[in-house]
Amino acid sequence: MIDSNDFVVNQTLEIRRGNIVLAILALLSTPRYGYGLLQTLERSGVVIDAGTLYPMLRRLEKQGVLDSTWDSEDARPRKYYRLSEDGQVMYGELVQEWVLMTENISKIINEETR
Amino acid sequence: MSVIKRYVYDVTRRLPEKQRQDVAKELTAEIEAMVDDAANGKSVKNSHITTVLTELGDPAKFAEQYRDRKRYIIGPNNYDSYILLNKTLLAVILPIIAIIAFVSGFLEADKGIISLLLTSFGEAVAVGVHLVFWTTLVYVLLERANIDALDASATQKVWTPAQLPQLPAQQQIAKSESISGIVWAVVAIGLTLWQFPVIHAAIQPQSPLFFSDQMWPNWTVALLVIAVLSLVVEIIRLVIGKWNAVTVTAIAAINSIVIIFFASLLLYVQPIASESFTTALAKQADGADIGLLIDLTVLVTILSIIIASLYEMIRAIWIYIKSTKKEVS
Repeated sequence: MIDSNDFVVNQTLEIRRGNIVLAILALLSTPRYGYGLLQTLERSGVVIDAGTLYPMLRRLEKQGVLDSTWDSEDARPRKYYRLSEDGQVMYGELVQEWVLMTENISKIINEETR
Repeated sequence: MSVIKRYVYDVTRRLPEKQRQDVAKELTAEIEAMVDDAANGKSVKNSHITTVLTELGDPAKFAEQYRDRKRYIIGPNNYDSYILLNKTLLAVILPIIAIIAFVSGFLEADKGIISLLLTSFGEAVAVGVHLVFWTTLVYVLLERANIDALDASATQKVWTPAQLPQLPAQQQIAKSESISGIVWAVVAIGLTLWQFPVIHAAIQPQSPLFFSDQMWPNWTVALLVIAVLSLVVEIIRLVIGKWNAVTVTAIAAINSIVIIFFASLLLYVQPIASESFTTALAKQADGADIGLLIDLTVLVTILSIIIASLYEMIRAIWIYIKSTKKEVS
């Protein structure tokens, strides 16, 4: 049998992995660069590895969900990401799905544990 | 700062060339931002850089995250069929190899039984290593090309209900059945080719041919054609994966040919086994009447092949009729 602690850790990771994209898209209504985004996420209690986040941003850009621009005016040039037009539509739909799902799951949990 | 450059280099050198420059620029900027943050407004020290790079972790793993596809030697999509294929191949081919090695050794030289057993066992192991190696190589290539072996539906992007797997009832053709059929067809092709005088003379001139002169060339070539046809039918069966009009017709057709071929072989060709083979075997058996034994073995083998073909043909048609009835009702 799997250690109950391992089980909780694994399942928590799964839940987090499923939700993290939503958090990223939500924050990218305003342009942010990778590390800035990572810090904002962390302040909200959403922990993610830099090694996971940066590649994920590039993938989302490749998939057309995000746009990026290089800001070279600062002393340090940075690559800013933000939701593309298509990305905004996709984000909206995703939020609807998420709301529906959390409502349903909460309903089930509340009914069963009463 | 050169540590950062080295880190970035170690990540990007593992990426496709066209991504490298862009990723390097972005990653450098991000790492510098992280280092600045770690220094917290004071001047940047090496220890800050070390902390950040340690947090980022192994460049190999980092680079792995940048890849669109995870790298596997054999990925989860193909793993099950890889194991199944290896098991089937080993279970079917190794005993055959051992028996062939044993029989041909028996006919060739005056060796003791123990050394013969050891030699045939050794041959089987050597062939086994080859089998696993080549199967693995094929699957590694499939993986690199991102192909799902034995899964035609995976290549279609849009899902349709037609791709639903069959229920595990009997109307589905077991993959192991097709695979062992393929293996047998390949063995038959190999053994028949071995009976071509040219090939036989090149490979093993010292041992006698099994087929008599009457078998060459028409019957032997016909046998080869049948073996190749069965191979094609088995592959069709594997690809289609269920009993439908195509598989049933193909199997019925090839089995009728097999039955007619072996029945006429039995009636028209006497003897099937060559005299030199009979003599060689008789010599080993201390002059006992081996001719009758060989005739009997050949007769029983051919009759079994005919009965097995008949059975398979009837079974295929039966399953097909049953499955179409079910769909109608």
